[in-house]
Amino acid sequence: MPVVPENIWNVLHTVSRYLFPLLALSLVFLVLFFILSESANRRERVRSLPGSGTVGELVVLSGGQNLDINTWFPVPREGVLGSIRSCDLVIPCPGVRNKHLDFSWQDGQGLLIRPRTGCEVLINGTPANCRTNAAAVPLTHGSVLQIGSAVLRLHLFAALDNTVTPVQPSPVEMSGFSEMQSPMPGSMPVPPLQDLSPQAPFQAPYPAQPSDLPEMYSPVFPVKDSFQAPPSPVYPDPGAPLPAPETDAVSPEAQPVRIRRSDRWKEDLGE
Amino acid sequence: MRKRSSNRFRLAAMLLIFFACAFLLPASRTGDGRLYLLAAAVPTVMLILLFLPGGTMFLDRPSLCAALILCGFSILAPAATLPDEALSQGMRCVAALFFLMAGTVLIRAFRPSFPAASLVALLALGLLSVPLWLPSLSFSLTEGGMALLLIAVAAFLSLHLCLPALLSSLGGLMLLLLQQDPAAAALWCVVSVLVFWAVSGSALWSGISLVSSGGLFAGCLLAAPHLIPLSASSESSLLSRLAAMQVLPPDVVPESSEASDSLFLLLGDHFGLLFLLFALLLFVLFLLRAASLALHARKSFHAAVALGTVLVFGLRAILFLIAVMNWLPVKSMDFPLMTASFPSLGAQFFMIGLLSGISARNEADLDEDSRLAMLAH
Repeated sequence: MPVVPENIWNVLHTVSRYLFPLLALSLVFLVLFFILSESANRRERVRSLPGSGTVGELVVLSGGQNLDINTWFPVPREGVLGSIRSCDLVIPCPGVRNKHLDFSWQDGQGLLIRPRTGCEVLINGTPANCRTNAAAVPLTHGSVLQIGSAVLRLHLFAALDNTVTPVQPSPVEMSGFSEMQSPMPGSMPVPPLQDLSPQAPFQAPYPAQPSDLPEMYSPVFPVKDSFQAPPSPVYPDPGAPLPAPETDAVSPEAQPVRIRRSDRWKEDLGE
Repeated sequence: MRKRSSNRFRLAAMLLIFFACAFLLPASRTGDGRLYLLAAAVPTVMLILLFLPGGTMFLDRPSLCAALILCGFSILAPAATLPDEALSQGMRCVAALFFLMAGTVLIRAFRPSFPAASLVALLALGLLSVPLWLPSLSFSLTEGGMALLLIAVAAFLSLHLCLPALLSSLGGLMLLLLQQDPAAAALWCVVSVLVFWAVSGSALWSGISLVSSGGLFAGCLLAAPHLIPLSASSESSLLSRLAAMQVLPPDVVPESSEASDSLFLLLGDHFGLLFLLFALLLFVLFLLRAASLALHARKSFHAAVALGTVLVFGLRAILFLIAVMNWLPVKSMDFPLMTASFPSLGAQFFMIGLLSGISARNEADLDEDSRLAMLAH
């Protein structure tokens, strides 16, 4: 095997004392860039998939005074539903305990509901508690969950293999349902119940959104900050160019009524 | 995509240059064929793993890349003075890659259920109890047992079975204390309590876990001190290394400090303190990547496993630094991924395999979201 002369090796050794830390630093930076680029790529993918990480949404059919009709909650694959803010799904209604139930998505079955000890829910009118086998009464597309004074309907994104005949909630418990059928002006159209039948084609998660709106999610959030045009600048010189025309952003009043619950957290905190 | 590829190519080129130069320098002095072999083999294996199709092997390239560089450092550390040891370390690293595959396959195939979690817990407790009924065993199965126990506890917690999770955790802690391994027991104690707190979501169970684990550890420390031999430092001290590197004056070094065979410190001897700091920085990047995998996991089981893995690696490194700085009189562990013990290295690669499997699961979830979005349009 080749051997370099001692004097050359000494020079190489001296150089290497500075070279190797430099190369190691370069390695650290390159690994950092590699990790950052992977993360950026993931972020980009997630941004292009607005419903990413959720299996569907729970839409409020009736919620009493604390929960507006048509409020919707994105449903993650698993989590806790309760009335306190640390829960994954916050239902601030009478009769809902701090941590009322655990839910988890099971492929091929639906959303399994496991009420906690001492808690009870109605799944499609069937009572369920902590002793109920969760797999026996899964929530599927169009199922109705009644918890405390709230009545919620599940809309699944992954509904292709999990559609069942929707259950008509009993009129007694569905006091707010008639209001949903006649939405307020400007509200998102709510799909009629017959569209949820198994024969109906798969329904997009966010149907019938106005086509002139920029993104799938943006029209349904009444986030005032993002829609407020900046104040027009005041020009002291009358000969100066006119202020920029008003943007044709939709005013908050004209926004649809379909509400995402998390958008109300700020006002909840202020209460 | 193009940017990602160019990043990967730049990293591959730098890996090739660094490890080839680092092994060729001592090889060119002695003409040792083993070092020439390592100069060719180490970068080649790294490049193969870096460019393997990620979809087929389910590998998380960023975390794997950081881990492989640290392993490369562990081969490099004894290369100049002990080429045989460097070659053995290289063989150990290659063999440990099979545990990486095992971890990846296991986490993708494992479905949390009570029987499966119980089986894994029994297996883990069995591994941890081996040193008690086979005292002549020359190698430690502690880390492998801890990795399996972590999977079992995470599975129990994801099923909301807090009592079995607590019992498994306490059983593991008791066995570690009986093995007279206080550092590993303390590590497991902290990991299990934090995983309980993060996954169970119940203040009551978190408190019970904290009190029972802490109580058991402190009780053993007070009631049976012979079970926890706290060494006054028979291990080497980083201070002595720093003094040898003329970074610190010799009078700050304690008398009891001795030389050690820690590969991490050996690396510092050959390449200097700055190099060690960069190696630590690389390890921090590895931890950050692993933590991001835990954050992106959609199932609490996967999140708990990834979180536990991050905690095991991070706390191990902290314990190592505490021991070598003589801040606490505990027996030193090796720095993660830079250990000469094959069972430890295998267990660590197994845990990296778990991370890779979780990363692949996260990607599969995103792919499923894309498919659904496409169908919805």
